Amino acid sequence: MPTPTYTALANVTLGSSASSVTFSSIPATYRDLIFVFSGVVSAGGGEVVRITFNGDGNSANYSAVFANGDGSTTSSGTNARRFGLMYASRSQTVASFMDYSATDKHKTYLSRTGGASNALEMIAGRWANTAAITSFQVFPDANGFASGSTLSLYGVIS
Amino acid sequence: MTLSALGIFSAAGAGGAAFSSDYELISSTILSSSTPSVTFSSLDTYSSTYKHLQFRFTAKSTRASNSSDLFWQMNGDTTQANYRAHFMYGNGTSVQSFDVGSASISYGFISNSYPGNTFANVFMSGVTDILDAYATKNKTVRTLRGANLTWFDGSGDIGLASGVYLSTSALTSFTFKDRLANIEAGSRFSLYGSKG
Repeated sequence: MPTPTYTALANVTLGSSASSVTFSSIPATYRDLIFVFSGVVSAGGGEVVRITFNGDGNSANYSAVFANGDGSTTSSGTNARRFGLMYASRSQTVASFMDYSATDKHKTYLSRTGGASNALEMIAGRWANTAAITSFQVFPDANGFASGSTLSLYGVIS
Repeated sequence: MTLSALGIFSAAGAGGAAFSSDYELISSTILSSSTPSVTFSSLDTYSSTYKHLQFRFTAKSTRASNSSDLFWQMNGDTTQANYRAHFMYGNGTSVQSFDVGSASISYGFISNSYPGNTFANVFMSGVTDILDAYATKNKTVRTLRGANLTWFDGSGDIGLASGVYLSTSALTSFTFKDRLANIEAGSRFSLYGSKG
């Protein structure tokens, strides 16, 4: 049997709304992490979903650049800890955390996010820290993840 | 509600389910010293095993600048007419798109803003797909890549690049090349195959 290359590490479907979701005790076994979530905001309209690594809530340690389109216009900007978009109708996000356990690199992520009825966006983000990622938390800006949102984490070896 | 207390991760098991994967690691390298290019060769060996190939990488340049150019090349072919590429990116200010076909280059395009050595520890991340890698048709290569701090204003960029190698010859090698300097030590390139 070949060595599993792309391994499911965690998978959750929220049974109730949640202001944030944290994945902790992430081992350094893999080269990259791939994180997928499909969600709906628990209240209100569109929101930015942000990320925190290893409990570091200092936005000065983060940077992110994004580019998006909504079917009529495009835009680009910078927005620390920006990780995804979520709306009242279901949206999806797929992100890679590259070399997440390396200790000689700032941690970077690539995220693709959007909802079919709203907008499409790609994001490159950086956590200015060389520590291995052992946990991360995702949270919408204002409200939370609605019940039924799904979040999955995978590890990729190299 | 924070779900970490529920032990989602540990409940799933750190080792994960041992499913047999149709997405497999073929080769991986972390550069111990800087080099002008990184080549994955003998790719024809995998033509009966995999349908698609994917490279995942983190890279930076030795160039004494904020950024450099990262290109790709197939089969060692330096014929300019055999490459064509378009890219679209956002640089923190606007979204732009270009046709690289008129740039007089003999490589495919990945990024013109992958980090130079101005900023320590800052690497670009990228995922490059070669879809239908072994079909007897022109080869298409698609990349999502992004980096921070690489532009003059420090915003970095996020972008997509799509290119074609205008040859129906069998794929034998794929090269990542820094057009202006060397690829820095510590850069990592991994190759995966997907069965079809």
